[in-house]
Order: sequence, then C-alpha cells, then structure tokens
Amino acid sequence: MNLKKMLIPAAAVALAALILFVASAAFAGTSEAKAAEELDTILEYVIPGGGEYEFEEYSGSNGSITGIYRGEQGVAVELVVGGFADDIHMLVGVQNDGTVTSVSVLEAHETYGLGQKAKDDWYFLASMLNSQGDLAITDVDAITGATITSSAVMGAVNAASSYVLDSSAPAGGALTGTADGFGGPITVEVTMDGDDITAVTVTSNSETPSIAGAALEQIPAAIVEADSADVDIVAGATYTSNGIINAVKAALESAGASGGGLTGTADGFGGPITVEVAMDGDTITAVTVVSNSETPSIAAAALEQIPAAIVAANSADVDIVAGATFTSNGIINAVKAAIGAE
Amino acid sequence: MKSVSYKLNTVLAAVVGLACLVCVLMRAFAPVTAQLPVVDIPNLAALSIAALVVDGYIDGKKRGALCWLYTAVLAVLTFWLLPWAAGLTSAGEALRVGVIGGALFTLLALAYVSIREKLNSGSGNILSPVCVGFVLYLACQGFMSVLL
Repeated sequence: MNLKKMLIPAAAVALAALILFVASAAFAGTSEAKAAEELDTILEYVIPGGGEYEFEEYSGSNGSITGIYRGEQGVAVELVVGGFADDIHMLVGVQNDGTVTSVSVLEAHETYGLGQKAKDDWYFLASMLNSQGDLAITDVDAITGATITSSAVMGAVNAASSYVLDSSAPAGGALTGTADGFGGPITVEVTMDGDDITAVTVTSNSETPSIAGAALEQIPAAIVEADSADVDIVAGATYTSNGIINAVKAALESAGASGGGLTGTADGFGGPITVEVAMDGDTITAVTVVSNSETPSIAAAALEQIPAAIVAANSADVDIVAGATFTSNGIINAVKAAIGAE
Repeated sequence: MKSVSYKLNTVLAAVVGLACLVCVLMRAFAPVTAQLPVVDIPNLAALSIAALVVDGYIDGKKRGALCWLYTAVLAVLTFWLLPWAAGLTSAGEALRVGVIGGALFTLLALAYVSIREKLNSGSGNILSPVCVGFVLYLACQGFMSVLL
C-alpha cells in the first residue's frame, strides 16, 4: 500500500474545500446583495400593487409563515411548508381584503417531472389566484401524480390568505354590539378569551364628553373586572352607562345567537375544515363541522365520530379514525384552534 | 495483479470542486433570473458519472484496481465538504449530502467499472466511456423514479 499515493486524493479534497471556502467568503457580499436584489424583483411582482414594502416579523401561531412583506395594497406572505421530498419555500401575494393575487414557489426539491412542476406549472399556480383562504384540492388544477405537493402549496396559499383575513378582523375575534346611549348609538367591541371578557372598547359614540367621560372610561373597565355586564352605573351618566352595558350585552348575545359557539379552522385532506364548538363553562357541549371539502366516502366516519368523541372526552385529544387521518387531524386541530388549545 | 489506483477520487474532487466553484460564481454574478442548480440526487449522480467518464479517458485501458472502502470514504468526504465549503449546503444537511453522494458515487463507480472492464475486453470505441456514462445516468434517473 502506497501511503503517498493514498494521500493525494485526500489532499485534493482538502485543497478544493479550501479554495471553495475562500471563494465563497470572498464573494459573500456580492452574493448577498444579489439575493436582496432578486428578492426585490420578485416582491415587485408578488406584493399587490408593487411599490415600497416593509418587512414584518410574524409572531402568530402558524408555523409555516416565516415573514410578511407589507405593501400599500396588500402583503407578500413568505412561507415554508413541508412538501413530498423536502420543504417548499414560497411567497404568496394577498390583497388587503384577503384575495390571493400571486403565488411564487421560490425553492422546491420535489420529484422531477412530478412535484417539481409546482415551481412553474402555470395552470396549477393560476388556479389558486383570486381565492380567499377557502381552496380545496378539488378547486385547483392539481399536478397529476403529485397530490401531496399540490396540497402543500394549496395549504400555503390558504394560510397566507387566512393570515390577512384574520389580521384584518377585529383583534382576538372580538364581538361587537350596539345600544342607545344618551346622544345616540354606542358601539362596543368585546374581546373574549373562552368565557372571560378580556377587553371592552367603545369604538363609537355620540355622547357629551364632559358628562359621559367617566362612564366611557369606568364602565368598560368595570365589566372586564367583573367579567360580566352586570355592573353598577356611573352616577350622573346613567344613559351612557346603560348604553355601554346594553351594547356589551348585545355583543355577548350576538355570540349566543350564533349558538354561543367558538369557531376554528384547520386543514383537512381536501381543504380547510371549519368547526363550531359550543361550550358550557369549561365543558365542550357540542362540536359541529360547519364546512369541509373532504371526500365523503373516506371522511364520513371521521366527520361523524371525531366530534362525538371530543364531546365525550371533553377534550380535543382523542384518537383519530383509521383511514381518515388527515380529516381526523383536521377536525381535532380546528377544535383546538376554536378553544384556544394551540 | 493490478496495482491499486487512487486517481478516481482526485478526479472526483476536481469535478465536484469545479462544479461548486461555478455555483459560487453564478450565485455572485449570474443575472437575477438565473436558477442555481440544486444539490440533489440527479445532480450528484451527474457529477459522479462525469468524474467516472473523465477518469476513464485519463486512464485508458491501463486502469489500476480500486480500493473500494477508501474510494467510498473519500467520496463521502468530497460530497460532504465541498458543497458545504461553497455554501451550497447548510452544516446540518452537509453530512446527509455527503453520505448519499458517497454511496451513490461508489455504486455508480462499481457499475461503471464493471461495464468498462467488459468493454475493454474488445476493441472499444473512443466514445465508450461517454456512452456508458450516459446509459448509467438514464438508469439512475429511472431507478430514482422507482425510489421516490
């Protein structure tokens, strides 16, 4: 065995690595500048209306969203979702009203000739435009032989749109109610955390500031503190006090009118599954699947059994139905989202 | 008995190093619209076969035997270190790429050498190494579609 001969290829590997390391370090600045320029170019197309944008860190609960580029007419949501072979890195342009205007797959390492087509299959990508977080796999021109990749991309598009819709909705899924005060209607926004009133905000009123000021300040705080709308009125501002109290009651009743239910949405196999969860204190009294895009013949058992199991267990941590894993997990995750267990 | 040759791994390091250098330059200077080749199995296979073909032309018919274990270890090192040094793979995935690339190269080298030994027994055409490499690449693609 010739040791000298053996060392030559090892030295060649070491030398090549050293040259590459030096070259990579030397061109790092240029590469970064070019990457930033590339991102700018893409964002010019992806952000609705183009123009100036600001980057925002995403702090929500959706693990696939990595950042937000906010423009004047909408945002580009950056996402990394799990594909078939590897993660798929995407940018989705969404108008301020939640309408998807562009879908760009920045990086994907899916199977050649199948899932990898997601990067540039015009028909597939275009079929997701103008949606509003409600796409099901049957709505898109999915890539043949690449259902998992197609579903992953579609899920990312739904997540991007839902992010915009959720962030433009009243914070924390707040309830609104209106009642008459002294000078006109008083509208309040009530934020709930389960059964707890966490905030009451008077969003509009026509009261006389010098008279109603104390009530406008004290009544919302008293309601939050008492966790109830049954609080004492402020002397000298009876109408305003009662207006706020009645508006809060109206807001709470509006939730009751819709079944007192909490709603949550999560991805199933064919698209988003939305559930309504009725609570009595800490007890789950009913779970209703209000919308889904699952395949009836496959998902029926899960759609029937999982809600019943959750009510019986008074918990979303229940066993899935064999053969309908995605649907089962979709319902479970939607319930968790509704009751704030995630 | 044939003497042991270690040239194949030197050629592999040169081919992979050159490809990585091209990627580094592309990343810095290519137009914004240009797509960088990704580090994946088809590209690892293409580089492995390119190295085998180049080695085939360098050695001609006077080819030495290979120490397969050493060849495999160096191939793993090559696919581990070079893309990582070029910034094409993260530290986490570099070892995975190294192991996959090394195993792929060793298998392809085994197949290539076996086929070429057979070809060398007759009056081989000058294009033989290229043809063998091309057929191996096609076979590799077909096999991958089965695996994936």
